[in-house]
Amino acid sequence: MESQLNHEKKCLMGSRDPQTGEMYFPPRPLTIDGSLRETEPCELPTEGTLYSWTILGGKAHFGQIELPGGVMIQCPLAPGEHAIDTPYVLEITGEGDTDWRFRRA
Amino acid sequence: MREIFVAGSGTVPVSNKHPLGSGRVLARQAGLAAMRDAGCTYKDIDALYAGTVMPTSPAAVLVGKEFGLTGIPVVQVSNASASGLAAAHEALNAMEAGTADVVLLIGYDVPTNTDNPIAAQGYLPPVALFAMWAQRRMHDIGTKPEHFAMIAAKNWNYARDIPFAARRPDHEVTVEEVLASKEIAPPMTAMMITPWVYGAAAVVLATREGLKRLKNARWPMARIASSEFQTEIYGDRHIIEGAIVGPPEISKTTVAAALDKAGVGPKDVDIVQVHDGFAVEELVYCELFGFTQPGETEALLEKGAFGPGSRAKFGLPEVSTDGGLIARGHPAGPTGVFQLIETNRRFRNFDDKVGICHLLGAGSTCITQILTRTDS
Repeated sequence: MESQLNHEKKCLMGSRDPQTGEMYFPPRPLTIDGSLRETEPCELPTEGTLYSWTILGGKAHFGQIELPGGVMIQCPLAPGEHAIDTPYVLEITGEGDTDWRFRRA
Repeated sequence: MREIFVAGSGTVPVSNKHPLGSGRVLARQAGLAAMRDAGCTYKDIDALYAGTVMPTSPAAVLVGKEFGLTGIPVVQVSNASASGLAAAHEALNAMEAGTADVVLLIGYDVPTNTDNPIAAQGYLPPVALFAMWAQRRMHDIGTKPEHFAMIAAKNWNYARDIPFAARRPDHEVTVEEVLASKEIAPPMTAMMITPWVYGAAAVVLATREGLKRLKNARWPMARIASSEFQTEIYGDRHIIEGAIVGPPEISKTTVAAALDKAGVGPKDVDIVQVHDGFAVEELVYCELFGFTQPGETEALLEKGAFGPGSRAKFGLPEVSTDGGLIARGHPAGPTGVFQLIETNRRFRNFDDKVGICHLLGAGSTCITQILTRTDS
């Protein structure tokens, strides 16, 4: 699977419908409307707002981040106090493809 | 349109104690019980449909051999948590098409190992997703953890009367007890969450013509008036991968279509067997089904809505009347079959006439069947 994380540009990669501009994450080869249009890669904004969150088993923080443009990302969060509708930013935590999460801005 | 009835049923207990690898035995026991209840043998069965999820649960064709080698079609359907209703949906299509008049429908899941196929796919743990549903609702509507606990306590208490339920408390479960159970992912506590269990359940489905083969067929019976099967449609804030059941709206459109096909509306519904894997789901789905408006459900829950007597007191259906996924348990493949069995039980033992069976499958699918009581 293509990496979702672009270390060089320090952003997540999504895909975009060239006709409507709609963006998707994770990136997908074809648009969602069944027309079989091919998408194009796009860099996703690195800042969004927290839509919801929880802490699993008292230690694993998860959240849903709404990015400008309508993309929703479900992902790990950095530990801390969380507040819905507050800004969160992408945080790269290592060299691997999955070494990323969002943290409170 | 052919009339198709739930003519007999059989179950084994839902439990986490069944030995790994005992799927064929349990499926045989449930199937035998269903055929005996209906008053038929495997020679009377035109086709076997099986709903099963776990990759290492036995193949349906091997389960069929337990009953005999009679040459009938054996169809295995897997659609995650919705597999039981998915198998029923396919059986109904065959019966509608006229290729079968008597069908044995079995749901079962007992794997040979403890691997969790959902976790193996790398999905966010389901409880985390639904905890996030709950957190957002608390933020938007002002819902309190007590409201989720009210739903869970109701379902635990319904299961006290169900002999095969996984969770049968020996006392009246209280909201306080649910809230005090182990916190898993706030605001979800252990008693608000379906347990990891195994089991098997079976029904004999028959057309009116097929009923003539069943010596024990008895009225009233549940008629499956419609079956609707949908997958998700892209919408606002859509999480394409990682969500266990997709956007909640899939339940709204599927149930509305199923009710419409059956010629009934939300106000006609007496009982609902809902996909209550997590307590927040039941609350959200009751609104999506058209029973209540967003924001008014919590106040109704506080007064006892959706529990015993709800129809008379509030004009609202009773929900998860066998304990649902939370208390009867969610052994995957059998869950939809248990819903059909519970609806038939309520039609026979209570004054209920219209029921909804609703399940979601990871990926995401939604399947809904509308059942109506038929007295002759």
